[in-house]
Amino acid sequence: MSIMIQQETKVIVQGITGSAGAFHTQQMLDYGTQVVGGVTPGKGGQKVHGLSVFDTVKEAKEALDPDISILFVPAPFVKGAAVEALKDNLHAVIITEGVPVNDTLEIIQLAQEQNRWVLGPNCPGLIVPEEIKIGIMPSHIFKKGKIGLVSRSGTLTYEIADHLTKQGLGQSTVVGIGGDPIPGLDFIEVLEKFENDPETEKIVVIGEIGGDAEEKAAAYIKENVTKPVVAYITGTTAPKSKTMGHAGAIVSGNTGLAETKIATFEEIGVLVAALPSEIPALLKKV
Amino acid sequence: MDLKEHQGKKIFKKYEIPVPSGKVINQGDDLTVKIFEELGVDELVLKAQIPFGKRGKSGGILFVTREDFVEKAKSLLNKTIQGFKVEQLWVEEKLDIEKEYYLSTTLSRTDKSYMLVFSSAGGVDIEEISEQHPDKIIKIALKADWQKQFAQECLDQGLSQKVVTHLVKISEKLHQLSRNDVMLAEINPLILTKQNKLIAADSKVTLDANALFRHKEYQEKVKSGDGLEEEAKVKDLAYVQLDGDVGVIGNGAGLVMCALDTLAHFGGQPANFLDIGGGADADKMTEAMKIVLKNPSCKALFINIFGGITKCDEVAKGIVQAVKKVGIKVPMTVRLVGTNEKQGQAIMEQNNIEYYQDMEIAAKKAIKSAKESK
Repeated sequence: MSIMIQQETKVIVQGITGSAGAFHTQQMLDYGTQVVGGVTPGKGGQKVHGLSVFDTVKEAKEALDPDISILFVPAPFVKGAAVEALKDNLHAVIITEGVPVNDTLEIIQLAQEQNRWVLGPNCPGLIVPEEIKIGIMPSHIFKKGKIGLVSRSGTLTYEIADHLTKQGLGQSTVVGIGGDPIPGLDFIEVLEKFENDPETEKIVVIGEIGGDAEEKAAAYIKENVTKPVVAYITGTTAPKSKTMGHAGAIVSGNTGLAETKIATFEEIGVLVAALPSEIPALLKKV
Repeated sequence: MDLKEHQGKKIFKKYEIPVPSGKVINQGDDLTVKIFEELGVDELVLKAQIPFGKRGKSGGILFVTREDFVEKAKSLLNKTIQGFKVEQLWVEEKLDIEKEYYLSTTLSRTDKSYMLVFSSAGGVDIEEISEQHPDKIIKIALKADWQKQFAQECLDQGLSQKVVTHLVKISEKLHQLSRNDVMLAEINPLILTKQNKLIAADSKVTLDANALFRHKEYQEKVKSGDGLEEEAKVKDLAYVQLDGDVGVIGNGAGLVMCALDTLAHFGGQPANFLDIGGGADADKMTEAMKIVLKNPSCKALFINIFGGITKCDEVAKGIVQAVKKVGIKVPMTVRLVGTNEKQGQAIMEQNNIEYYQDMEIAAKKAIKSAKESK
């Protein structure tokens, strides 16, 4: 088993006719993901990699009965596209960076009303190694196994997954929650799923400066997570009051400091790696 | 994106939040005392329109009468405050202050909603208020029925019913304007005048930079004071200047921060943060290298790529292009893996550029190069 998705999960791609959408549709198909079609308003009737393109999610839903939509839609149109997906009862994975926060807030509220989940925005998606990938990560670095990994950063996830795989530590599911200040699913919701997943034995949490998601995750782990957790926090060298690439990665006053996050994890007995390469050894220790 | 005080006040006015009457004066405008008649007052406040900060303490706010208005306005318009040249003043009526409060709406990551922050000890930074009067801060998530709770907590702090009613009304307006892509709307101080009226004496409004496509009137750029950061922004690159000597370029914010931390871990000092973003093409990579190399402190270049949506062959083409067209005068260490890595690495080999597969090994090499090239 895995969390959130499995081999049978059917996926549509919103923005499938764009260059990123088309490229990653092919990559997902190559990985074995059941991508069943796509949506681009005004391009209904076209084909991309042999898949039907529809004008609306509603039409795609009726024709293909998908479970999840992955969005490669330009930021100004993400809200409209995500609303369509959620209203048709699909979960949504939003890859797009630069979505206005107000739009994200509305999307999250609708997801709650519809009892669906939203991953992202500004995230790499999620992968169940050797089964299904709904995202943009380079597939070859992941390997099936027992480590659950959840992260605020895409490329840092690759860095760390690569170290795990090379040290023989495969992954049950890898989830990128994204680098925006307000994410759809957050650490706690994913940690809960890992805790309940029989295939996951140990968990890696990858955090960064900004906000207090790591501190809240630590409090949650202390009370609710019985599985061993190892963490890595990046941004120790980041100056204050500067946005470090991710909209969410900013130290404001004394909130969001890497040191505080590291200390909070260490206080509850979670081992924190100083370098990505140290994570496999720490996992073998816990 | 931070708006200037007068831009923020214009928004407040639009949302019916009371602001002092005032006027913008630009460098080169005629300075005459007629402005006292226009605004119908005998005393004015001159306020330098520079990005937020401790403006009052650095001489950016002056009180004037008809006698010294022209002289003081002239001198303020020639000043440089905290590195920013003053090119514009906001001139407004001086208020009769009874009390100073703090009021803001801001994004609460914890609540995944907007949050109202109020303190009856306004006039100084919210950080200072938090330290000195933590008991005087009211924070309320702006979810259903927040008004009642807010009003009660204000009454408990000893505010009068009349003031509280007005305060709730202003807070509702602030909440409304927040929903129009305002990440922070701060009124500090919110003045209670001797006439028992609440007036927003200052404004700090931060617009969501990602939402500027629907706020075209603010698309004019605010100067951040750092040339390279601005230059990078124009090219859609995220650059932050740091103090060290190893120039860093990478893809993805988390991985670039990790590269900085890794350099520091091994005793190196990053000269900058530069994230080329997701899916950068060869030209963007070349532009990124140009910007980092413009920093005179950069003694070595460390490029750290783990491609996902970014393709290694595009990055490699960008590096080759920079080597051939720009010329790279400092030692360069490249780590290149991820999507299309075989193609990317092949391009590097064809052009005799060395590359690494491991970030930590590459980081150590970059530190060594920086030391040697000094």
